[in-house]
Amino acid sequence: MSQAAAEAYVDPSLTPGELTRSIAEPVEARPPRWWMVGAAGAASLALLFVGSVGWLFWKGVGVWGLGSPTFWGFDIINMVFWVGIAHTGTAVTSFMTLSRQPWKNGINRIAEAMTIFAVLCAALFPLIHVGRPWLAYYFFPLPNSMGIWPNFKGPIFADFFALNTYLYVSALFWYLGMLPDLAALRDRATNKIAFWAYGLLALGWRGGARQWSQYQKAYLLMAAIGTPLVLSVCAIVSMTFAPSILPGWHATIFPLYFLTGALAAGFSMLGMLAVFTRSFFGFKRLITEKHLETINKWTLACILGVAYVYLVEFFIAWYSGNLYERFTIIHNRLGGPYAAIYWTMLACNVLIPQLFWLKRFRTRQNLMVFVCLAITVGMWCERFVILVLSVHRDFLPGSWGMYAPSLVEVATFLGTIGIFLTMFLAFLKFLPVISMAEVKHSLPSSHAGSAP
Amino acid sequence: MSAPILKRLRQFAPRSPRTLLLAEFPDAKALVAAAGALRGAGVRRFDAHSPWPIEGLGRAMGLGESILPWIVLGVGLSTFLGFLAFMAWASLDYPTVHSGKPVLSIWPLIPAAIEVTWMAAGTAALVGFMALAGLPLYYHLAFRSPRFKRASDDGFFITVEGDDPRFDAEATRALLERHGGRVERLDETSAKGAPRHG
Repeated sequence: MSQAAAEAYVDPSLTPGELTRSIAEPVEARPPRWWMVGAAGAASLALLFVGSVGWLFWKGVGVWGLGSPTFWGFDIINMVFWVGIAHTGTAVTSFMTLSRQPWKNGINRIAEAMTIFAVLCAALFPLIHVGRPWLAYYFFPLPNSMGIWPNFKGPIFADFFALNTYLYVSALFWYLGMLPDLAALRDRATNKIAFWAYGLLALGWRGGARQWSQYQKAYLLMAAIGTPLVLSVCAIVSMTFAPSILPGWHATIFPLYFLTGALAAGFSMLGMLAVFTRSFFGFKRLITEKHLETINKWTLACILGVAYVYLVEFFIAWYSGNLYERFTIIHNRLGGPYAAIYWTMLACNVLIPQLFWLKRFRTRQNLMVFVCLAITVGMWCERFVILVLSVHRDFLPGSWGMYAPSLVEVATFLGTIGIFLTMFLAFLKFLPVISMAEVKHSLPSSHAGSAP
Repeated sequence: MSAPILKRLRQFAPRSPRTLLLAEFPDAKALVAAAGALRGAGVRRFDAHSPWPIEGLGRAMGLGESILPWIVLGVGLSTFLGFLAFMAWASLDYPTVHSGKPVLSIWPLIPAAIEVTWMAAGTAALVGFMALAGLPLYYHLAFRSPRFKRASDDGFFITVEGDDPRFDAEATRALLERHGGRVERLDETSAKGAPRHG
């Protein structure tokens, strides 16, 4: 890591001891009032999920607004929405570790937490989408008395493994990165519960040179596994759509489409969470304006990719000369019954993010949150467009139909937002939000004496 | 039957030493110098503790390259081939035809095989790291020293284990002090009870 570049992202006057204190104290102190209120609100919202899913299991999938010709509605829209947000965490840590980008140190823990919680929310949807979740183990290739196996050739099978692997490897990566910090919390613990909890998780870490050398190798390997994994998960999720012959789905650009969209959604969500964390915890010296600006530059870069894909879709629809492609992608999107959602998507994903060309929007918190929020809304609309607009009007006008979510579906979605926020607030309270060992490692004073 | 196997396996498990010299150093530079000097004096069983990884420390201690990448590669490759073989076998065991695709084709099987490979490789990286780093080891003699708590905060320490038959406490202490270490001796018999918190 180039030392000069690293110094720009941390306050060089910080000492390692101050750093430990400022990150560990919010974990050890009693939760502030805003946290209590926020956690109570988020947990109440999460109860909506429990209620709506309970009703779903009691009555059956008829309580959803699905029906011919739209059988993939809010459940899959929201799965793809959360999977998209989930992509940035492991991407930030893996790409930036391999390319030695010093700015990741302040925010990678937050990004990884975001990833894990978002994948968890995403994974809930296929589980309830199958209708009989108690039979979800059919997804696993388990030997059984009926002698049947899953369809190994189907993209859904690969999708199942992609989601699970992503959740699992991201959690391992998160834990591995946190290990030295958990030891620091263990060593500072003043009560028995904290001592035992952090102690158990820290595995007896002593920070010995032998441990560090294996640790650094393991971390690098995890980053090397995580990088292609992130790319493959987007690609595989997109391939649940691309192999079908529907206009709007059957396109070779789909893996790239999902990747750029996912990274843009994730970076904008990361921007919001970083602003939230630094303003409520007072981490302004650790998550600096430079961090925010770098996140926003990444968002802008990904947004340009998204805009490019939108453009290519139009071009291919026109250039293919295919009647159905043209109808679905040009006429039905720009002027069909769901045109409002399409135009909202274009405004939020292409127009508003262009504000990030201005430095003021990249560095001022409230302006930046406005843009990030717009992108999050836009990305949700994009999932809606991809899903519903391709299936609700297919080749035969006689089988056309409309889709509108039922209240139960809306409540389920709001519930997952509650689940995400509850888990994120719990993370803010109970775990070290910023990687202490990594930030200390990047402090200018930490290398003053060491051998070159 | 199983008891002797367990006993034999236990000798590979990480364990805490009976005697320990613990030296605290003022900064990373002194730590690296002292570690190099210990190695030069022929001391084998010692470790240098720091809150963050220090460049050059491993070289000064003569640590070799980690074998972890080979473990991960081995586990990853065998999982990839194994899972691919399993899916191929299962496709033939219960042949189904989907959209006119052949009963057995390698290409649609590859995405799932790659995902399972990463699952296994990630597990191998974490478990292999734990095994090579001697974790978990919840009790270590060094934890008895309240000073050692700073090893995860901003302190630099060297621990020399007394289990080495050639361990010379006085000579080692003198060497560590010469490099600016504040040395204390910890013995398993000298303190009672588990390490205290707070």
